[in-house]
Amino acid sequence: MPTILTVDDSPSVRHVVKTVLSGAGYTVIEAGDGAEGLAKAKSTPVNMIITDLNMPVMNGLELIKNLRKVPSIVGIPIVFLTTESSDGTKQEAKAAGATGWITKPFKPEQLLAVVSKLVRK
Amino acid sequence: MIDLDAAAIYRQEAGELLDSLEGSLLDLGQTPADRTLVDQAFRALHTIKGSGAMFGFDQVAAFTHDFETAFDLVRRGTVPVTQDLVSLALAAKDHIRSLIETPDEADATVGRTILANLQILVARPGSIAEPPVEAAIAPDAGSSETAGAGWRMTIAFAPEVLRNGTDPLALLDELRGLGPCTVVALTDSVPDLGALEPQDLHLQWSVTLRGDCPREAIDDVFMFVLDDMKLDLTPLGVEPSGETVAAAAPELVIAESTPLPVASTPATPPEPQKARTADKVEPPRRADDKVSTSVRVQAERLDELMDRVGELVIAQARLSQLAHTRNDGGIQAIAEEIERLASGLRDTTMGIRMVPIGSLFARFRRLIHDLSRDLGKPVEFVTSGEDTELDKTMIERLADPLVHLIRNAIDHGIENPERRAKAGKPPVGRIELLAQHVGAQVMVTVRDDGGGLDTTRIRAKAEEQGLIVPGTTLSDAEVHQFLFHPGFSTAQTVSALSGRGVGMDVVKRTIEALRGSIDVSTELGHGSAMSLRLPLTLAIIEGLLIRVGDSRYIVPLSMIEECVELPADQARGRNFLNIRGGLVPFLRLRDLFDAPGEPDAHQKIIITSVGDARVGLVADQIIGSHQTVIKSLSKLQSDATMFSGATILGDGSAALILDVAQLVAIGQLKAETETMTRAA
Repeated sequence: MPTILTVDDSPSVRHVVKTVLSGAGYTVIEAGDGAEGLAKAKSTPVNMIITDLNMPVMNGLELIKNLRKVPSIVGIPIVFLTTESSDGTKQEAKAAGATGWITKPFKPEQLLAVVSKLVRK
Repeated sequence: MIDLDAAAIYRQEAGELLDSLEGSLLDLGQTPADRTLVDQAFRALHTIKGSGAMFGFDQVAAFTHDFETAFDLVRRGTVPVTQDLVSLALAAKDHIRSLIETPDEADATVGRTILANLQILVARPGSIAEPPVEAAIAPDAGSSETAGAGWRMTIAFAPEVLRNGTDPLALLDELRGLGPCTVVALTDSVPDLGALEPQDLHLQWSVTLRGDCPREAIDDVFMFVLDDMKLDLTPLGVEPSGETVAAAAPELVIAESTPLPVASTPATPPEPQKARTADKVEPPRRADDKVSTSVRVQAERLDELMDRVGELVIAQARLSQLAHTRNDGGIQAIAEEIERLASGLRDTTMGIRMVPIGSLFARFRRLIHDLSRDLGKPVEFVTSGEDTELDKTMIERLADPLVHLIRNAIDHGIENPERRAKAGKPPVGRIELLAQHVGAQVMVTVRDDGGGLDTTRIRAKAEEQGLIVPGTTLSDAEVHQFLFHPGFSTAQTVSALSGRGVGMDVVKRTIEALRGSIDVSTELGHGSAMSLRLPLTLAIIEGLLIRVGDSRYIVPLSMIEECVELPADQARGRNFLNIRGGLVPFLRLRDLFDAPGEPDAHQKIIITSVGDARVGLVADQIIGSHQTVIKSLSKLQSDATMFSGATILGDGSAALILDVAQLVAIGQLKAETETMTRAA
């Protein structure tokens, strides 16, 4: 089963992502900020990464940039969560190497739709 | 799929975010120019809103959204931070809290009033009326073009899509799901092997999709890459020609590009972006920014763990006692090992229960902010020693007494600005809240730079109330103790803040119930300080086990200065002892507790101290130190003031824990009457 890493400083968002995705059969691992996310992505093989943008320590943009420098992460889908649906943020994140985005608040089916779009079971 | 559990997690998280929001707002009141704080506040609002909508807290999301929209103008620097804005933002924060905690009782008019006021403040009518949340993954509204017969399209992705995690084949598969497709790969742009960049995508595709399919469905397939790709789309039956395509769907014919420097999309003004990047350069300096890996545990579980450890320590004491009576090296070694483990476990468990006092301090900032505004006394609030750790229960029980002391300090201590000006003091008063370790205790001090305590007036009041005979010689410290007498108040005017039912006597009682004490120090005209001395923990203490007659007692080790032998010539008579030049009164516990039988030939004196007062306690035997698990006394024994609790010893019998503060008071009193009768 594909493994998905969720990086968010909000435990409640991580909880929802984990509940929804593990309910659909994915293995979900969590990280509370960018730095932790980077470390986990390096140490554990993952099939997809879902990250928040606004986070302490290392924000989502930096995380995405750093992740794309890791050889094993090249080609792995990285999706960011955003409440700002502004084009500026999206362009910035995509230029950093993000694959797609999910606008918060999201419904479980929307999350699943994006994940199944980007990860083949 | 979203369960109650998640809602509870949200409530807890939102509570913490609101606390941090409050902190940022209050800091912002002090340093309005601090952009980091604005961003911090904004981030908290963001998360509260985003998660709120997800967990069905729609009111919270809607209100927070409006609030955030207005606050965004502050973040962009359009609207300056003012005291009014901070106060309003605090009110909004309170409203959000009530929407989360008691949604049924929350008053919608309060919310509307706050938003209306906020709108006036930011003076941007209309900016608040936007819809609260955008539909997630909304297909771009606009054309609802359909092609009954189908579509012909040319697909050219940006070269870097593979690296960035998009799988073109998956997208083509998705396209196939929309209807029967003919897919042809176009290899024209594949370069020679020498020039081929292996991680870039060089292929393009030509696809004919048949069937009744709206264009949004195709856009949806490419939603994440639509902006960066070239997608030529023609309804079947229309001849593909560059001009018609451009006319039909101009937004889709976007030149193949990476980050769009397109002038036609003024999505966000560039300034705020710049401002934010500039802020990020600034190193984080606030404690809130620290990360710690932590696990949430319910408080009751910790209490339960502490209870269990307590039982273990008692059981271990029994084992050790038993092992000592057996002449079996093996058993003794195991008993010692278990003793070591139990004591380690005890320390770890107590450590888990320790919480930095800073969480408590943070609560008072709001109190001081509000009080200072209500009373018209500008006050600067300084804290130190936030990292000092205390038992969780202790911190909870400290809140009310500290609220009272702080309220007193502002209400009665700090003078109004005019009087301060006359006294040559800075117009802004200063309240300090300090915590520090003093030996095995923690000292929490509330200090103000106000008028100080008027000892003469307190004394006059005490005489008036018949608490002392006029003319009695009393030290200043003794006079100050009258402050803690029930119903004692020297305040000439009673303000709305005084008289909330908690008097200084209650403060004192609460602190004493925590086995702590209060010291008062003051200088007329320069302010006063109330220092609370508290033990680190309530559950287990190091005690000294002593014997008086047949019974055994525990004296808290932290209150013992030294132990000496009672000189044989003093076994009877005078109850004073000369210790290195100082005269220390002592109490004979045998007499106090009516112990039967004859005293031991060599009695011991345990010198205890509370504050400056020292009193010796005479016991028959000092048995040794003892890890004491405190069991509280039942209500039936509530009049036994000389004891603060009980414990269970290794042999299963009980020992009472002496309340040293009480004994010292009794001892001092006895000493005085004795001196007086001698003098008479």
